[in-house]
Amino acid sequence: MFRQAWSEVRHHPGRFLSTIIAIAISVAFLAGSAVLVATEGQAQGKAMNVSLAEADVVVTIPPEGSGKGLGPAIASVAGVATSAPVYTMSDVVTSGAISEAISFVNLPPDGLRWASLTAGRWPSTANEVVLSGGAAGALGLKVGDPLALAGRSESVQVVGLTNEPSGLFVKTGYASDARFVASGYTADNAQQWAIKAAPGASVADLIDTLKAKLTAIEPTVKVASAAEVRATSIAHLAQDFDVFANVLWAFAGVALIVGMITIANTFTITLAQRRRQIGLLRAVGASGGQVRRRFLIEAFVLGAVGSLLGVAAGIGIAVGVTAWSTALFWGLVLPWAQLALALGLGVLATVVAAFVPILRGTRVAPLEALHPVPESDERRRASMVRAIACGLFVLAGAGLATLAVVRVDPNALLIAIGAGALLSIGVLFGGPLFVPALLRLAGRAFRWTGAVPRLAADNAERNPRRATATATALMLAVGLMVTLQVATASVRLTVLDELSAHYPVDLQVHWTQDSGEPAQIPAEASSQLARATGVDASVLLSGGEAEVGDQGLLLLGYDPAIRAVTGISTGVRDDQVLVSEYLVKSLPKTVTVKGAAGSATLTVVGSRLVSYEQAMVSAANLAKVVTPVPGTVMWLSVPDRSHAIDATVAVNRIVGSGDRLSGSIIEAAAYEQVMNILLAITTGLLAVAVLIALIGVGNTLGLSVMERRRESALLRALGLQARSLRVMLLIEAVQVAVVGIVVGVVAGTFFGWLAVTAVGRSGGFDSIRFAVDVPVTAGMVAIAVLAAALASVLPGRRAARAAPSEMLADI
Amino acid sequence: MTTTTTAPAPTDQIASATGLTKTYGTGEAQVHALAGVSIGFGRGSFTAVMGPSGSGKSTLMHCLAGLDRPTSGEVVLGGQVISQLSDRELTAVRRDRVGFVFQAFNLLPTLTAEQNIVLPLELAGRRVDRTLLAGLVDSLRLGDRLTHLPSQLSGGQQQRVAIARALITQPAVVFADEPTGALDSTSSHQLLNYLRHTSQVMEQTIVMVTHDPNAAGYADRTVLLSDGRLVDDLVAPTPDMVLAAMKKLGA
Repeated sequence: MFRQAWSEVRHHPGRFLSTIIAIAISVAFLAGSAVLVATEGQAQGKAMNVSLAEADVVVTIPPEGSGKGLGPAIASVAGVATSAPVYTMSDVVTSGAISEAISFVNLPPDGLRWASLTAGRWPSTANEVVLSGGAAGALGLKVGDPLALAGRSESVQVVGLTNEPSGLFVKTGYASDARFVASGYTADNAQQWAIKAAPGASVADLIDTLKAKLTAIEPTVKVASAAEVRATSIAHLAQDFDVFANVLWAFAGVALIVGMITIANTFTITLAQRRRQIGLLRAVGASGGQVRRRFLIEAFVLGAVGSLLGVAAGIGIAVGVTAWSTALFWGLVLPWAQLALALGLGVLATVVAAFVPILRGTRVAPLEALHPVPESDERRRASMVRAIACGLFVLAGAGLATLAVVRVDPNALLIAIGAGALLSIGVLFGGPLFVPALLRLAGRAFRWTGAVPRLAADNAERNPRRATATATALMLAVGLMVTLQVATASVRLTVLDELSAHYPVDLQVHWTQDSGEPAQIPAEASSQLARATGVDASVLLSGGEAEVGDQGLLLLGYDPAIRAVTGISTGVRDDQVLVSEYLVKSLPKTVTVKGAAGSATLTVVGSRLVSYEQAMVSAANLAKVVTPVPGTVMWLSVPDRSHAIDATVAVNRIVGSGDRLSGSIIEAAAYEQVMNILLAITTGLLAVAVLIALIGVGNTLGLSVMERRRESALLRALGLQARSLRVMLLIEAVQVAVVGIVVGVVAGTFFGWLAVTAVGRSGGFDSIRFAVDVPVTAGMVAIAVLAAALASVLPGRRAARAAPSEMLADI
Repeated sequence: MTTTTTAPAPTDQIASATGLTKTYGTGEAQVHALAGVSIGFGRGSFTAVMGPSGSGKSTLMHCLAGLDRPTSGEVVLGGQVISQLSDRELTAVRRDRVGFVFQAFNLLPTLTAEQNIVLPLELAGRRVDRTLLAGLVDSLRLGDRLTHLPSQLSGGQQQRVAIARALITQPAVVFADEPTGALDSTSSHQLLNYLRHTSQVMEQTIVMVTHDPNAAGYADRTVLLSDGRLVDDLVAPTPDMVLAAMKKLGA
């Protein structure tokens, strides 16, 4: 039985190719995600504990303990080849407009070294550092370049580069022991010791010996294997990665569902095509059960082949991605349990998807083999049961949707998701009720243009069940993609609106001395800032530290020029103090403002002008309360959002450190970046599902072309040019695809709106902006239609290539 | 049994083939469907091409009608050499200069009878001659069936629609491949009578492949093929004469 199924697959690979591809893609997604997450997770764990990468045993001293005298004690234990204390220091490093957080570690002795130099030398003096290749790349630095450290006036030089890549979150550099010593790190207050065991020594024994010896000196010491310490820190990370992994598997699940629709469709058509073969089997004496079993085994074989290919492809893709993200440097992780699960799911999905089509398709009378019955017209009346069931789903979904949109409820998003799910089920399963009508509508648009378009429209409309299944897969995939697009675009716009509404200051520069006290912005800097790219107005504000009630805030003096810069025209009366709206609730109605020069009792007014750490009074009051530092804060107006990045870079360069910058543009830029990345990732992930759906379109077409061999031959005999035949198939494919895509876009836009409105309701936003990124969505639709047209190329060539006489001879 | 060569004079021929061969496959499995056939058809003639299975009669028709290209030899149709035309040109020839009637699966299932009839004209982008159409529909008694789909027509009605389609382009030759194979005797008789009428009154050249001696009796010439060669050429034979000629082949 297996051998028969296997030989069937081997001899007619084309028939099964698209099924195998659909399954392979879904399983590749599952497997690839698993490997990717595991490898990135390990890389993250190792990168964060880079100092322990080569160690075998780690000694940890908790903050309350003392590490005095541990160094020599460790070194004296037999079986310890090398030991060294671990120091880490983080600094924000700036090069031009780019700032990065670098984690500096001390250079370990040879046995514990995990990276090697690619250029230059190791640091020796306190002013020398070595950067990892990844950190240097991100900052654009070479050997010999100087580095500015945020908040410090000293400058430091890069003397070497190492081969290690940067982690996703942490970039490493090396500082000399001299530098650490200068900052107060000694062997006695080190909190970790990395230990390398001598070759041949047992790590377990070493741990025991060390534990015994060291707890005698300091009882709170912990000794553990390096692997265990790494695993613990990875486990802390794991929560974040678990979410990441779950999201990936959710998307892979969508791809799998779309794949199952495609497979079910393929099996329906293949079995219809093999009616004669089935009839022959029955005529020769096979029972219905034996025939069904044979096809189920074929489905199993297909699922197995596809899943194996998928796992291999998934691993390959994950290797590629982790090589690019440099996580591969820390080693590839193959989570066998999850890979086996992916394989199993692929096989299961194939068999489940093929089950009903096989049941239906094998109910063939033995006479089929002798008298093939021409394809009957499948225009059946819609099933009452289906109409009622889907109607109920849609009603329930609509009800929940109304609930989510109308009520202010913290769970609004969940309700909206539930509504979306119910509506989706109603629409997807109700396909046969409305897709044929939509196809006819679409057909009416072009069937009058000629004989070939009319033939195409006829063909697309005459097998509604098949066309519906194809269109349904597209609806699902495209719908999800558009939902996420719309949701992201809307959230982005809403957030940006909120930001500019709630924080009217576009860019703020704030100058302090090393001690944190306000200082005047250097004249050179302020004049440059006023003229920076994108800045059209600016104002310099004086200020000083003061106590407003019990809050220590930076007190600023009002300047009429604020009106031009922020667009807010209300000023500050002499009896008022403006504080941030968040603070108003925690302060009494009148409050004493106390400073170095005096105090004043003022009424508290909430305002969007000042941030959480600021307060504002009239210029007269400022002079009364503090000794104002002139020009310590500068507000810049950048009216054109498209100049936001240029302005930020220019200002960053002028002020020298990102610490001094804040403002709605900075926050907005961060949001934009995250949103864009999120959008790119989700679109990419869902594109996989759309690809599978489009493979389904090409597949449906290809198999129906095979079924219509005789008709194609007749048309060619009657004088239809080969190219016209291909055009006819193209039109058919596009017609079905367009119906699916349009429904998907409409549904996706609605669900996106629903989700955004629900989020707004649950988050208490006063106004939610709804946005559809028209160029992007239109672009996606165009690409999908193009891909559908492409899907018709191969079937078209096959249909047109055969000589008309060949097919006619088969009577 | 007289074996008179009845090839019409070359100037009168609407279609002819010279030295046609057609070979399929290679090596051991090589099949010589046609092994050198030369034949001509006069304008307005109704010829039956007969022979046992595997004699090459369908292959001959395919080559004559531009459905396939011969391995060697020349085919002239309506004054044009078609044997080595490109696929595009051959398709155009089939559309404009040839009419087809097959044994079964003649019609497109999604088109009505009328749409099926005018299909070749639509594909060519030519206007429908309403008078001609009306005349054909009338003489084939299809008037009340024009809006029906093929699934709603009987076998005989389907074949009549096929003939109307074959004739609507006023082709040089109408090729019929076993047109009565799936019909009962009454329908067959009506159909063959119509074909004869068309060839005699409207001067339409018809070449019909058949294995039925009774059908051959309606034609005014019968040629016999065996093993890819022309072996007999009879003028207006009766079914008995045809039967006898075929029995001779079998011997």
